[in-house]
Amino acid sequence: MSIFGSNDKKDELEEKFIFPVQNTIATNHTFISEDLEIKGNIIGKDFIELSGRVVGQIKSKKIDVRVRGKVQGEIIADTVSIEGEVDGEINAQDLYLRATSKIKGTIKYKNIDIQSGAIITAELIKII
Amino acid sequence: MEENNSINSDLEIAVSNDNGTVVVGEGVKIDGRIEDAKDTHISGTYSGSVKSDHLIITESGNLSGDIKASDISISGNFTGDLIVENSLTINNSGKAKGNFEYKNLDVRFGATIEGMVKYSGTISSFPSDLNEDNNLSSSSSETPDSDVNNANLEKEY
Repeated sequence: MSIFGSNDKKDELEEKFIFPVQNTIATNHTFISEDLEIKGNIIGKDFIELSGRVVGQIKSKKIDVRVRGKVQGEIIADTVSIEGEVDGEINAQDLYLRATSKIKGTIKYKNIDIQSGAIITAELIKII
Repeated sequence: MEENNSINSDLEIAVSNDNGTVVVGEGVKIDGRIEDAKDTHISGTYSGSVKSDHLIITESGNLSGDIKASDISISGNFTGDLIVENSLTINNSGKAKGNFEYKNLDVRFGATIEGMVKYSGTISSFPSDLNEDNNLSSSSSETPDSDVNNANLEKEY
C-alpha cells in the first residue's frame, strides 16, 4: 500500500508542478518577495506568488504562497497552493496544501489535495 | 451441552487465528461497537464505534460513528468523529464528514473532507510566527493580550 501510495503521489506532484510554470510564462506574474510586508487588499487577474507577508485580502486567478509566505486574512482564487502560513480564510476551486503549510481558520474548496505534514486546524467546507 | 462447548471452542480457534481482524463484507449491515481490533476492514455498512490499530473503509464501505485508530484509510464514506494517532489518508473516492483529530493528514485530489480538522501533534505555538510579527501593525502595544486584540482588529480590514 505504502509503496504504491508514494508512487501515485510523485506522479501527482510532477503534474502539479509542471502546470504553474507553463501558466506563469503566458500570464501576468506578480511576485511579492520575502522582503515585503503588505497591509491591505491585493487584487489581480492572473498569478500572484507570495514569499512575503500580507495582512488583508488577496484575490487573483492563481495564488501561490511559498514556504516563507504568510497571510493573515483572506485568499480567494481559482487555484491556490500553500507552502507557508495562512491565518484566516481560503476560498479556492482547486486547493493544494503542501507538506510545509500551516493553516488556521476556514477553508472553502471545490477540489482539495493535502500533503502529509501539513498542519491544519480549520473548518473545511466543500463548495459546489 | 457438549454441542455448545464444541461450537464455542471452534469459534475461539477461528477468532484467535484471525489475530484481531474485523471484516464487514460488502452488502452487510452492522450496528455495533468494535474494540481492541488490530485490523478493521469496512466494505459494507457499519454504524457504531471503532477502536482499532488500522482501519480501512473501502470504496463500497460506509461507516458512521466514532473512530479511534492509529492509521486510517478512507476510500468510501465516513460520517462522525475521528481521532487518528498516526496517519489519516482520504483517497480520491473517499468522502468524510465530521470532526477530525490527526497528526498526519493525506488527502488526495478529488476527495471530500468536511467539518472541523484539528492538528493534534506537538508544535510550540500555532500559527508559528504570525502573532509575534504583529508588531508590524504599528500600534504601540507589546503585551501578548493586546497582540491578540491587534489580530482581531486587522481582520476587519
